[in-house]
Amino acid sequence: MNNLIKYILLFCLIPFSLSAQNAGEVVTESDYYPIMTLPIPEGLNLEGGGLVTMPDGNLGLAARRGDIYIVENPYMENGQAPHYRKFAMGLHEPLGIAYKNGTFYVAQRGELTRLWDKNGDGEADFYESVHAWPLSGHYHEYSYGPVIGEDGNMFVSGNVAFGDVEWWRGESRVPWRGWISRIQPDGTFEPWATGVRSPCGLGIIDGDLFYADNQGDWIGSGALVHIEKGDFVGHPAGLRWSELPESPVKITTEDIYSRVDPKMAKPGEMPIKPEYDASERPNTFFELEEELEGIKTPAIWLPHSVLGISTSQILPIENNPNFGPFEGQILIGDQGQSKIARVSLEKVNNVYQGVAFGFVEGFRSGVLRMTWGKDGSLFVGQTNRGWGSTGPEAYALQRVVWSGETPFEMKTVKAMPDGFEIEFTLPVDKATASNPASYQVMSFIYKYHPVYGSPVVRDETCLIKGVKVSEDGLKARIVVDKLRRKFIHEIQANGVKSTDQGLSLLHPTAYYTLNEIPDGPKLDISTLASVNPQASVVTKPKKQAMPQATPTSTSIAPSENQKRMISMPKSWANGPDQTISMATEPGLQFDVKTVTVKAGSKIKLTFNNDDDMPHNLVVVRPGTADAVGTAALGLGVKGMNLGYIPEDVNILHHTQLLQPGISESIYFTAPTEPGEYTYVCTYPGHYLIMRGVFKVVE
Amino acid sequence: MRKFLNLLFLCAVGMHFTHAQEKSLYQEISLTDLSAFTGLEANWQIAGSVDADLDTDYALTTEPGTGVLVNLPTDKAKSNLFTQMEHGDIDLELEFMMARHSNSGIYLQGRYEIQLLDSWGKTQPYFGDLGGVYQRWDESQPEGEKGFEGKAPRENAALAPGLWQKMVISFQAPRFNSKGVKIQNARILRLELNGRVLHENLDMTGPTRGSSFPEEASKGPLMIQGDHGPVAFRNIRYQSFDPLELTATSLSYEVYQGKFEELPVWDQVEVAYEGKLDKLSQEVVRENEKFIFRVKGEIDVPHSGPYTLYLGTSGHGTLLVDGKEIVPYGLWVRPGTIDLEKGTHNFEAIYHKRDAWYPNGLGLEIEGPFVRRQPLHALSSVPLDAPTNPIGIDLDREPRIVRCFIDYPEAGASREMRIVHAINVGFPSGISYTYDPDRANLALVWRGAFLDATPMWDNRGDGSSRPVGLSLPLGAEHTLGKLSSMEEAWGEKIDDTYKFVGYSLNSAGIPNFEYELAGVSISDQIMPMENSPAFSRTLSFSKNPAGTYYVRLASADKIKEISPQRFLVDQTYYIETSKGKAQIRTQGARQELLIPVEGLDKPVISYSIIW
Repeated sequence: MNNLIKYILLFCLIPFSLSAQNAGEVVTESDYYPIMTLPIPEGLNLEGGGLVTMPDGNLGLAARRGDIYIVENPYMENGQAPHYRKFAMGLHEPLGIAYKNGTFYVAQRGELTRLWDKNGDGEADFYESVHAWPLSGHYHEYSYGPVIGEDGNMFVSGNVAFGDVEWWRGESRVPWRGWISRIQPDGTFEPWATGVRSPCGLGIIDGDLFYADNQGDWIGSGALVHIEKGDFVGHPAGLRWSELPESPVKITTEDIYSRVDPKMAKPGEMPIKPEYDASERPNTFFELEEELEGIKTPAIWLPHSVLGISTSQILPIENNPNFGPFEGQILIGDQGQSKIARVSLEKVNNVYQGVAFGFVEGFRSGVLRMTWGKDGSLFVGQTNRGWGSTGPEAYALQRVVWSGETPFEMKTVKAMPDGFEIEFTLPVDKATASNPASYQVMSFIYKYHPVYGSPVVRDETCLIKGVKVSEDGLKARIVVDKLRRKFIHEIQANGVKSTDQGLSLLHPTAYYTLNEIPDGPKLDISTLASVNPQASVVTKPKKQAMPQATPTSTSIAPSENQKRMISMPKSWANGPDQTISMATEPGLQFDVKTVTVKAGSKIKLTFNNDDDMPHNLVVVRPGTADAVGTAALGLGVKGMNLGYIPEDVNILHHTQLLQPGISESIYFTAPTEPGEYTYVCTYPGHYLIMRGVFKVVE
Repeated sequence: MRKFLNLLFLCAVGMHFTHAQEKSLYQEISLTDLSAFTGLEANWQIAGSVDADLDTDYALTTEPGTGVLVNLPTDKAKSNLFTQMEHGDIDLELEFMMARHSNSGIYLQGRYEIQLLDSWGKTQPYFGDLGGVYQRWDESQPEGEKGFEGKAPRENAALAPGLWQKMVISFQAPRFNSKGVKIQNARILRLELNGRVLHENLDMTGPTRGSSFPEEASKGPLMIQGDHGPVAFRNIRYQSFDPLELTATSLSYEVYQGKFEELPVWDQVEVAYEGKLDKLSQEVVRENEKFIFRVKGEIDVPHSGPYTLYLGTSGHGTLLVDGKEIVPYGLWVRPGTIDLEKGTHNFEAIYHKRDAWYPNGLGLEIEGPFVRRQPLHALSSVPLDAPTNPIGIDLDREPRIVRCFIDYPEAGASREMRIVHAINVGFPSGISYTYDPDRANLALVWRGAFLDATPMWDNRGDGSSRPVGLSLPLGAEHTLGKLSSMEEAWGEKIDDTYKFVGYSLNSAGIPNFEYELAGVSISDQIMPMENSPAFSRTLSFSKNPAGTYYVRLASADKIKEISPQRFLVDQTYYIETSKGKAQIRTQGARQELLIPVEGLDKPVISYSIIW
């Protein structure tokens, strides 16, 4: 009965929300791409490690706990809940599944396994070891795949391990960890490419192999990378094996370490975890490409914390008219932020590059795996165990259905010899779209170094020199100054409105990775609407010639910052009146939910980030946590460098953005006005749940 | 993350048995003769070795020599045995061997019986089974209600007759006030049988049935029941304790703030705050990182002799006793040993915390002559966060198969080998095994529950699970090998021609491992035996591989041929062969049991593991 109601509600939801849109209210992603939740029986721990659609439309789901389920009736037709049939059991933390010729292929930690149901009773009865690869037994040695190429060959990938002492350093303890490998149907194993760190995403796009990695040491941000045999894509751990005869990769560890200091401990010294050094020249990975044969830089960077923090699956939309206007594009999941990004690839000078946008967020758990249903809807297998996610559930299986309405979006962005061409999904209002002030462009890159992640470095603002809108109102060509090859170009189109209803773009920011600048005719600027130079001076942010400050310190010197005093004011002769200690709990929680202080009292607040992701603690005025959280999100790619502290009068006091394992004490005088203030973490995706009540009493 | 660390700390600081105890403080009961005992009749003897027969009730045979205490009761001689030694609080370890269907008991203080019985194979043990605490008895009650209390073991950890079994008991004697009135019951603090914990903190309200004394007392001899059947003992060792609690006194502390890379020269740094303490605890520290907490105090030790102090610091720390460093600067929990004269001694514990990502914690425990290991710190000084909820994988109606990392315990070493492609199979009847497909090796067998998957499934996990139950390691090396002669050593690696193909499940869900070796297909099936809690293993070859291949059934210190089909391996388990002719060969200090792959047409080798 309950399911029937849900079923009815689901189908009622779509017209209701569309009528809301018609009434001119704020539109959201869910107006176009609502998310449905599939019920899962109590106690069935369905952590989505792998998800595939079978020819009959049922789903094959590899749960992280090792059992393989066939999800029957995932479409909940006739209002019936899905049925979960256990097909196979006890695999070792499988993180990928494919279906071919009536059998499943699953990557366990140490083996590509083919699951046969020879006697036809609906359960696997032959677990074929297609190929087993070495493991050292380190926890981080996860394996992913397979994806099956058009020629029937399969690709799998494997995480690096970490050091015992240097726990921050990815290392390859046994051959082909930190590699992507090809396995032929007969089990023949070939190492294919290395430089991967946590290659959770594998996909075949137009017959070519791509992979997506996670930010970490040597990997500045998540990215979509085209893989060809013999490529080296960044993390040097796997190079340990590049001199073996089987290796198609020719670059050596020494090739990298001689150019970029790996910051190893000297003999006899205690190793120290390397941190970002703002005084160093910010080397980039693409600079190595000029010196070394076999380097492959990302086709599309996915800016960290903006379009995700832990990239998961790559899923091409291909020819799917039931999923809206984005056919031929690619979806990329993200575990940590429980969302999906959308990217559009093009080839310039035979090199892949393209643009990334936000697409759908708000999933219940971490988005790990996706597959297309037979009706063109999108199934999303989720889990967050071990890493946490914005969606607070441990696991979920959800489905995204296109409502049939076209959202107002940048459909794609293409590189032009003098800028970019933005294609929209709906005709634009020509007045706004042809006004250069409707757009802003800046470019930046990430550093290549042994440090975990990277701030945005070498960023520059690019002037919009002119705009030309097509006759049909579906395209705007923007002429941009100072295009830089290999840099990520952030294109904001906040001012552009649609003709119909005057909608703003649902996702107004695009990130274009400009690996190549195409040749061809440039537009004659004199014929275009161009920017008022004086206005541009006002809107142009201060150019930073020097490398950025570290992500762990705000750009304001602490001693001058009244909102973040990290030493006790000298005037506090008797010390603080009250000392508050705060840490975290799993699932994006502060471990203290309510703090009560006296109005005007002297407070020392220590926030110890004992979680495994970054957090800050921001004390804000009553009822303003959402606004501050949204403002922090709006900082976009610059947010990391600012510690996600926006300029906002509602912020009273804050810590800096604390990396895992870091603690900070701040000193402040409690508000004199009693009331229920809030403390909140403004790291993207956290502010909705990670908060507590800061109660000020007389 | 933090919970994990707290659990680590709790396990390490708060619980006993996690470190090997100071063996030098154990006293051995001499079994060169019977002078350590009283109450003897002819049923009690000293022997050099014993054997029990797996198939014959009450059969126990002896070889001359010393070191083994044997009870062979007859109608005429069937006395109980008492030790000369009388004990109160005690840690007792002993090994014993049951004859088939035999029965005996260990009476602590001559009063509280831990049952000894051949309970091998029983699925639901009760208080009268091996390791149970026997019932008490009240003659005044009507028939059928005379027995009361009694405590069944948590599980049946009994080994087969003829195998040496090990029991470790921590016992606390009842306490009496000055008027002789009992104020605390006798208590089993912990009882382990063959590595399995059967009881913890179990109060016994009075003597059990068959007690030699009606009243409880502070001391009494150990008694071993002699009238119920043949049984043997060896390696009886114990450590007695005074019934006292040590405390740290005259406590004072200093806190130094700031980031120190190492311990400073004390007179060159400024004390941030200081004071006195009435209990040993770090809770006065207001910081949660970048501090040094230095606490000094005194301990009054009751006897002269070697003392071991366990310092636990969540972070770095060091311990000095009488000005001498006994626990070097280091992390987490570690022991240090020092000889102390009876009387008062100074100690200084230094706790240096550099990081904030784990909670503050300081613990100090002591053990020594007649001093049971006990905390000197206040309980609240160590982190008390809730440990993780355990995640078990239970047996099911059909065989359950789980792949994960399994840590193989290497004999004689603390180092463990990780079997990275392990396939674990648990059967509904309660026996399970670990198969290593990299070596075609049956590595571990166990009886009990199936797996503890907490290490794998809690949080990120480390990919490993642990067998739950009475486990028997059978060797981590490969099973199949080629030998050009009987002198050639067993190879370090399996043949390069080896390839694991996979496993198929039969209609009962039992896996059949399939692999290739030297161009021959081999099927390898391990399944429970019908009438005993044991495994049989059958290797079937599609044809005879070229060359002289052997299946190695066991590698051990001593393999004894009981019959052409039955072998006793280190008196730890039996191997019975049903297809193939087994032979023992000696390789240096080790012995191996081998079966050649013989016969031209589809050779089959079959044997069973009984433990």
